[in-house]
Amino acid sequence: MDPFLLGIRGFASVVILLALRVPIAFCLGSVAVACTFLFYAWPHGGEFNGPAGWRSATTILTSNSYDFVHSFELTMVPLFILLSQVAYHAGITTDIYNSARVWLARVPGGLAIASILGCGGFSAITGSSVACAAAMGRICTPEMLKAGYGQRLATSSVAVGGTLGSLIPPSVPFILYGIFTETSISKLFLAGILPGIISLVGYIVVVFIWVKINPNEAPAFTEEKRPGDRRRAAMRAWPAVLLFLIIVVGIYGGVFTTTEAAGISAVTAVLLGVVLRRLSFASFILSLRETAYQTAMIFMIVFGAKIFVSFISLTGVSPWLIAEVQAANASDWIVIAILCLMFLVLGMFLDPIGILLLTLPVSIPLVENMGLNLIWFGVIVVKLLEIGLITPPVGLNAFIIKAVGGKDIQIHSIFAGISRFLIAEVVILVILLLFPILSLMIPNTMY
Amino acid sequence: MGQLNLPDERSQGHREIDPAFLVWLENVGVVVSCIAIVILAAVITSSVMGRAFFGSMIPDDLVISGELMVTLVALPWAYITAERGHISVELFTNWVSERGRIKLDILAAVVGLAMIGPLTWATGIALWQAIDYGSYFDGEFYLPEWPGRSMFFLGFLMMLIRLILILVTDITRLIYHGKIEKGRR
Repeated sequence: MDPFLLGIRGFASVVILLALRVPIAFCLGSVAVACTFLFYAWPHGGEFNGPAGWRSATTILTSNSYDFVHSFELTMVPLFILLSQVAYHAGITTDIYNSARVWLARVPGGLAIASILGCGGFSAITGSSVACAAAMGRICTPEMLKAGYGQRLATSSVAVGGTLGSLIPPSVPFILYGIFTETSISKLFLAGILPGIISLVGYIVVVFIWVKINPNEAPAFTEEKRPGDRRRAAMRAWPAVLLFLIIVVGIYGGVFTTTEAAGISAVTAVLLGVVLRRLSFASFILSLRETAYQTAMIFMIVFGAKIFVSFISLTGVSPWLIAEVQAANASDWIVIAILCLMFLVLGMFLDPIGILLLTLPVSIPLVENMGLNLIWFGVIVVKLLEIGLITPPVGLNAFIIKAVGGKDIQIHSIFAGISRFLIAEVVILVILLLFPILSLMIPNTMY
Repeated sequence: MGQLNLPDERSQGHREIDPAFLVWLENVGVVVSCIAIVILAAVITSSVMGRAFFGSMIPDDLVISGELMVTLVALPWAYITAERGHISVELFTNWVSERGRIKLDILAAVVGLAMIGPLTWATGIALWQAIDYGSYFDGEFYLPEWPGRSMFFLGFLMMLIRLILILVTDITRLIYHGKIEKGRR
């Protein structure tokens, strides 16, 4: 069987199975197993030899996947998830929000701005946008609604703020991108900092303008304050700041690797939780169970993607795509624009990790062939995945806010609010595309 | 869109084919995975501390971490499968009738078996070879390969059994017009 045709049919089969609600991991894995078997059992121009195909396919797939999972570098995934779980259960992740809301109480739209800052702080400890939106949505949205904020602002600010989870390190999508593209995860983490801050500032500007135009959307927050509240609130946020500094300064200064930073920060979070009496034994066990669950779930997809990528590399689809692009004489910007569009469209329907792992086998060879920086492209990809989390019809973060907010929250109100932020998202994306230095400035000065 | 597995939002209901021993084994798998996470964090932190303060790291820490990684990743797979917790795209099938959904569940189980079946076989062969050849990792202690490979095989095997049970359950649901609920209480 023609390997190229097999590759194309493999891709098509994955898309069809995905649409039929088959789990992403099973789609990728089963197609990879079947097509790799066919590749070896039915060589191009040769006779069908089932036993030979079975032996080769199972041996290659198993050794590939076992060696992949048996990795020191990948241990950072469960450790960063453990960090986020422990920090969440110990209340460390919401300290930044609690601090910001005290400081910004008198600012127009202060609670919404504090929510976005809180999401930024949450993101600095966790690597998941969905977790960020779920946790902050439970706290910030009810508080804003109680203070008389409009439903659109109260929900969309948290949904959008939650997208910072993957851009600001640590970040699970950056880890997976780094492993699949063989780029430095440390540099990816550092590259995400400035775009994360730019996004955060962009969201705050949107809130500010929104409230200026329509002050009724965010009435003045009147909570009685005692002297010293601000100082106490700021002081309470130190564990979150410490954990972020351990990760970023440790990696930037070359004190330890990203994997070591994950281990150290996770252990530090547990110690902080115990010493500050904010983490019970039951919460610790719950954190561990959630870590085990999420890690295994993510790795089932990663595992399927890994064997699918191994199969695609046999077929010659990627070199064909590169040759086609070269033959079309398309400029780099057109190719990047098409890739961005592809990520945005997929983001409307698919889970971010699924999109990442499904598209990397074709997008990365293209980008590499154009000589573009893979660290910068990683930031763009993660930013696009984040935008996908808030775009209808799926917009996972919007549905999470709806799920945690209760029956009074209307999904159309959330998307109506998000539409204002999408303008900012497009502007930020264009800025990041036009000025790669914004992503590369920090990693380029790394030790 | 994908199912969200927040702690309090997992599937409710009961499953007809749910052998107590397998349920126990799946729970043990999650517990062992949790223990592996704790040991992993301890190994990496001790190594960094040892390097910083005593000039030496835990011997074979990379191999130990890899073995723990395999363990913590593979053992909860059956539990997640039992909870039907694998992420899938539901957008295009929301309009499907209850009976249609059961058929899609059957398709998902069959596709899952097409992946997990061959891989269980292959990981079993790899485990047998590792034991037969006495394979080990290069390093200070020449740690054997079979513990990690056993966990990998066990993870696949439990998931395979669970997928077969899910398939049988779903076919039963289809025959009895969806009167049997899916998911674990």
